[in-house]
Amino acid sequence: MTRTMILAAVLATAAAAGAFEIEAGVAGLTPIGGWGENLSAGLAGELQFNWLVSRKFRAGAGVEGAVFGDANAGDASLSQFKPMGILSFYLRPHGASFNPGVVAAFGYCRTRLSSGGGVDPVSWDPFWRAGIRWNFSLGSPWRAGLGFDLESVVSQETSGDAFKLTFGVSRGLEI
Amino acid sequence: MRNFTAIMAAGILLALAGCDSNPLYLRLSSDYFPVSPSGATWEYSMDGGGSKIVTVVDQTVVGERPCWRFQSGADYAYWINENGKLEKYEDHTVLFNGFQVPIYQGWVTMLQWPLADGMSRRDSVGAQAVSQGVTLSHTWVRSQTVTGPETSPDGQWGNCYRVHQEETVINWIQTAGFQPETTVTVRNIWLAPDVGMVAMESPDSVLTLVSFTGGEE
Repeated sequence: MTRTMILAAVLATAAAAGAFEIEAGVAGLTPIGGWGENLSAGLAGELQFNWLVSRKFRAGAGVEGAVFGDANAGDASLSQFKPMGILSFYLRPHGASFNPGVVAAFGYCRTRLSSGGGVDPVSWDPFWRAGIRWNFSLGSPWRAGLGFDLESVVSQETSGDAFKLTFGVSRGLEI
Repeated sequence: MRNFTAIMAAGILLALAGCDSNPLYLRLSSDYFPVSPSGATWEYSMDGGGSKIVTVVDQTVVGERPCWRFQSGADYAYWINENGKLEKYEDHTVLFNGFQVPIYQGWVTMLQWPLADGMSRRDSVGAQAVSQGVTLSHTWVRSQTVTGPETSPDGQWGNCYRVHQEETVINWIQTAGFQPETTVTVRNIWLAPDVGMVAMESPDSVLTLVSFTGGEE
C-alpha cells in the first residue's frame, strides 16, 4: 500500500511538470542461469510514466509484472512485481521510423515462488535493467518501441538474471 | 526538475525500506539432491555411535532407464534427477516362509523441483504376487510435506528444506492364520543446497552429515 502511494505521488509530480508520455508494454523473458532451470520462459506486462526532461532525455517511473511457469509440465510458478525508476535517452526523438535509444531502470523486485501447493517466503530484492530500443512513430501522438534488455535481480548470494525482448506503445501528452 | 528528482529518489528509497529479502534465487538455482557424479560421497554420523557412508558408484540402467547407483554398505539404491523431478527405484519385497518375494519394482517420484514451503505430495503402490500358491498383497503409501527454508538441526547448513515423510506399508499374506500387517514409518529429512541430505531423523536413528565430497565430473 505504501509503495503504491509512493508511486502515485511520483506520477502526480511528473504529471504536474509538463510534457510526458505514458507507455504500456509486453515482454518475453528468458532466465539466464540455474535459477530458471525448472522454469519456463516468462511473460511480462509493464506500465511506464515518463517525463520528457529534454528533447532526448526522459525520466520516469514504472511497474512491471512477470510470470514464469513450470518447465516440466508441473505446477510451479514464479511471479515478479517490479516498481522502478526509469531513465532513457533517444538519439532522434521525433524520427518517424528510426529513433534508437538506451534505457536503464532501477528499482525493487518482489519475487514469489509457488510449487506443489506450497509457497516460499516472498523476497524483495534490488533490481536493475539496461537495454536498447528502436523507437518509431505510429502517427502522432502514438509511438512504439522494440528492444532488448538485460536485467538482474540482485538477490542474496546470487542474482536472478534474464534476457528480455520487449515491445511497447506510448502516447505523448501535454499538461 | 529538482523537485521531481528528489521526490522520485525519496520514493525509491522508501520503497526499498522495510522489504524482506531472502536468498530465493540461490535456492532456485541449487540442486537439493545431487545424484552425480561418480565418487560423490556423504559420510554421516549416527546417534549412539557408528557412521554411514553413501557413495555414488556409477551410472547404470535399471527398469529400462539410465540412472545413478548409490551404495551404502551392502545396499544399493538407484536415483534419477531429471525433468524437474527426483525419482527413486522402489524395490519392494514381502517375507513369506523365509523367502523375500519380489512384489513391486518401479520408478516412483520422490520430489518435484523447485521445492517450496508447504508443498506436499502423496504416492502409492498397490501390488499382488502369488508365492507357493498363496496370494500376497502389498499396499505402500508415502505422504510428504516440505517445510522451510530453515537451518539443519546441527546448525551447519542454511537454506535447507525439511521433508517430512510418512510411509505406510500394509502387507497381507492371504491365507489362514495371517492378518494384514501394517507398518508406519515417520522420518524427517533435511536437504541442503548443492549438498543433498544433511540430516535424517527416523525412529531407528538420527543421521548427521559430517563430510561431503562432490566427486569428479
